[in-house]
Amino acid sequence: MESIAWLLDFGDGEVAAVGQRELLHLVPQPEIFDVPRTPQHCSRVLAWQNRVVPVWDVRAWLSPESRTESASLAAIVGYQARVGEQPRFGAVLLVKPPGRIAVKDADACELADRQARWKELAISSFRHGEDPVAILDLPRMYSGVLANHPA
Amino acid sequence: MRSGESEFALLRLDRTNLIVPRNDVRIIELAIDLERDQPPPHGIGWILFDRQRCPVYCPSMELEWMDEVTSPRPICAVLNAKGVTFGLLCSEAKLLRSDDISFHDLPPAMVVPGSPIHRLAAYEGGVACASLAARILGDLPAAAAQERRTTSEAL
Repeated sequence: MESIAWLLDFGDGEVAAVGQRELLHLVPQPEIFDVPRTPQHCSRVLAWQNRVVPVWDVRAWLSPESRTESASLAAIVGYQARVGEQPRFGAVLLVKPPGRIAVKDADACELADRQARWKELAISSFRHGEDPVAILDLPRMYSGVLANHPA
Repeated sequence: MRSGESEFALLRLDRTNLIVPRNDVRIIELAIDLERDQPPPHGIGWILFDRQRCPVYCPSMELEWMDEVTSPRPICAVLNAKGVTFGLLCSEAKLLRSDDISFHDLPPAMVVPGSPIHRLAAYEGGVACASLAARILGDLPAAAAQERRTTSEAL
């Protein structure tokens, strides 16, 4: 069986995927606002459709010294924390527009040991090119589970 | 300001926007009137308000309490909470009508215990961090809190 996913590029060769229906909107040159006393990987917000949306900086999560200072593109993602619940929204910073890819069940694989930080964000993973690619667990990322997680 | 109208004060700290209830702000002054000699611990000087010498602090964009002013902060917002009056140095300050603001919960992914920020506020296309003078007062370093008590007793 084959599914369509979006491949998200965070820069420095770091990529991950979300499901086809989880990517809702792209915001070029987003106006983002700092919120002090928040985790480094989620320290900014943007206003989108009368909502204030938390912005995830995946590079800052992977390597705290790699915070994305100037964001050229943000992707708005939607998810449900529980089945049947109203959708919730978040954003992730990207370096270029997402690409559509087909993922086969046979592509499923484990993340590599060196991808320990990715394991915290992944609901599953698959082989794409040389390295395994994480499929983002959006409900986990935007919950408070990782907010006080040590870098 | 119309009577009974709920308002808020927007205090800009470089790139960080802080919003507090208008009633938490006693006055907004130019910072040129500060007395810089023997500043309070973790503060940068004193301001005279209502015949009291009130400590003045300079929060960074990250809401850390700085011992010196490292960017232009021409405004001093004098806040009051729990009977304590203190000043915050700001880049800019202005009043906002509550009709122009929509408040939002802090997203769970951003909640860190002990933060003085409890909500977010969207206004005029911008987003500010909502707090209260009491929360800011509670966030001041312990040494500064001790100094406030000592000063209050001396006066």
